[in-house]
Amino acid sequence: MKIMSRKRILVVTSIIVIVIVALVAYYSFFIRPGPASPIVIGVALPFSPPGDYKAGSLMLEAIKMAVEEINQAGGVLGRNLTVKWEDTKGLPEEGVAAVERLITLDGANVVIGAWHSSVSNAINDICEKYNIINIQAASWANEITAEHFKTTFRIAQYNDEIAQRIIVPFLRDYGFKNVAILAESTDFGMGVADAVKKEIERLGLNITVHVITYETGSSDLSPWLLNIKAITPPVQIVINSASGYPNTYLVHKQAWETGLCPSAMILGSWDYPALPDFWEINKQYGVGALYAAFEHPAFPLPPRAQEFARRFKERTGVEVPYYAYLHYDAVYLYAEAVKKAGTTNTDEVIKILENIKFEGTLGTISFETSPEPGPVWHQWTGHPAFVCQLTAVNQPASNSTIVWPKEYATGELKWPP
Amino acid sequence: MRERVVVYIFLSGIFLVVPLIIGGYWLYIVNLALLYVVLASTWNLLYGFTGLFSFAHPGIFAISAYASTVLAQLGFPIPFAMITSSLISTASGFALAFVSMRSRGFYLAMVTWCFSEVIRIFLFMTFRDFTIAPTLRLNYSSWYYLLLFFAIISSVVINKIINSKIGYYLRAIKDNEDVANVMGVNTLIYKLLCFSITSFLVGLSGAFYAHYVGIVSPSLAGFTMMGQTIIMCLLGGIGSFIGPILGAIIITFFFQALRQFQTLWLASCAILAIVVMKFCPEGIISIIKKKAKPFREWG
Repeated sequence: MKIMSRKRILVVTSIIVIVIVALVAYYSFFIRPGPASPIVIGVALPFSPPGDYKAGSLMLEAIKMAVEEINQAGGVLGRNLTVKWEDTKGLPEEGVAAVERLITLDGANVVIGAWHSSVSNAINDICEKYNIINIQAASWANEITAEHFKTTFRIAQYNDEIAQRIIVPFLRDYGFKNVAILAESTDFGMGVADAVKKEIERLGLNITVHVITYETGSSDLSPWLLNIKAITPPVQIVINSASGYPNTYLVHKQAWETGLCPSAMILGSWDYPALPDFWEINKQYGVGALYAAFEHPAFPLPPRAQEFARRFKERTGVEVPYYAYLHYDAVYLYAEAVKKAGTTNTDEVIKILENIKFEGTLGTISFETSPEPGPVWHQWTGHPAFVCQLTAVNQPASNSTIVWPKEYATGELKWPP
Repeated sequence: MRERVVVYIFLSGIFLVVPLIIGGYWLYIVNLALLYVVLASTWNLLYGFTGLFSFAHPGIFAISAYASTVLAQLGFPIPFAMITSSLISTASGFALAFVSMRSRGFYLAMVTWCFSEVIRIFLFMTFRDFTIAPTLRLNYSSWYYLLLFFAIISSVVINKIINSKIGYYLRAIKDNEDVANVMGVNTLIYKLLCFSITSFLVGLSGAFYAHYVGIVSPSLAGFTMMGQTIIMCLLGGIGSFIGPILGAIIITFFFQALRQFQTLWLASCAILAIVVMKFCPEGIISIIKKKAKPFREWG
């Protein structure tokens, strides 16, 4: 009896193992997309902490809207698009797992991702390995395109561009002399800080920069704001170089609570004040906030973009952030490239993308590729750029004042009292 | 004994052909699971067999991951960088143990947690959000065999320790350190030894991770990995040899299966820990042992 029960255990264990292995093998090897099957848009974004899940869900909605529209119009090359998404959790190893799954199990023809620069950098390698096009629509770290991967295309801005085309020219044109940069401990936060310092040095401007870094995810920024308040001579403007939630939004409220404001102004390095949480968190402390913006109703976007903005707000209940435009454009851009190539073959599509001129929602997208070391590789550099200011409580971003470039200004910069 | 040999041969056969059957995403996950097997087994040696509730794993892991990355970026061969970084992490673990071994229980947990936090903050102050680590030019199949070899060797080492005089003394320390002291066991030496050996293996795991994923970040020294390691040991069975190994494999795949549920995966960790502690406090291995007599001898 003893021998029989041990044999039985062995047999049962063997059967279970064989069944599991067979299932995995079948799923891995025998499920493959045929030629008439949908074109798979792989999406690798954060949908849970510690990633920025709020941004992730908005970006996914923008992608889904584009896919639905394209399918309603008949698809691409007679094939519908389908979205497969995976959660990167904002972590590099999860991002790699997500993209591995998208490519090897879901058959993604293109990957759009990944918001967090550390994750974007990790997935670049995977996309290059499998020769799958990777469209970066939101990560700003210079390194992402600086590696000059064949398959990586970026339609988002990059850190040097933000510093060179928006922040430093704004500081110069308005005569700021004493600046603080409050940078979160991410490559985005510290990348923008480094890029601003580098650009000020390159131009030889007489601007003193103090960089104060803090841990991303911190919700009490008072200690760092008090450090800035203690600087002499007093800081005129604080550049809020952060993307994490909720710390990015809290800077304004806590700056007033610590007494740093109203004497110092606050400039956000992207258009987070356009999002609804901004006024919920900051209320009257948000008045006077400056931010870098990439679109504004004073310069109407094409009708297609306006329609997208209207429908996005209907669908999500929030005003469309700039990165939603870019993710919407990423899908259309890829679809257009596939249509022109007549195939989803990566190498053929890359040839089209490298020479494309695509009318996106924020402008005409084309890619600059410089063989010199640096991030200008498969990089769109034609982003619109403004600095806007909120001048009343609960003011929607669409009513904000453009204060820079001065030639496009819709009102005067409101200085602190 | 003959049955055990047959099972070993059977399992060896399965292990060897895994890359021929699965690839891509699943093989990537299996490779991560093998790293977690080492992390869970080493933590189990510290807590399950020695009673040292330590939160130093993430700090040790991150020290080695970064050290190996920096050495590789300076031009040293990656294998050399990995071994050197493991020795650096061993020295760090030894130093930490030396200053903290008089602490026990809650205080030891706090000291080791602070250590990991200090390491995380130091890495954040010194490096950026992420640093690109040179990767070994291997495909996932080659990585699989390399990590399988590493996991097996680590498990053999830990098994040998558990079943040796050292393991006997470690259990004595866990049961009652004061009595063990009185009975002539040099508890400090054995705790230092246990910490150093686990630090070496955890350090080597960190070095493998760096050159496998290709990105290191200060978040490696954060609590996420520690939490997962503890849950793996809880689920598998703290204080057993096989338990953490089973737990590491099951939890790695369980978390991947929860991918589509977004933030619910976090809640699932907590729920799983509560369910395990309530209904199966000795882990899955205790159920297997009760149901299958042959497995009782397996630890």
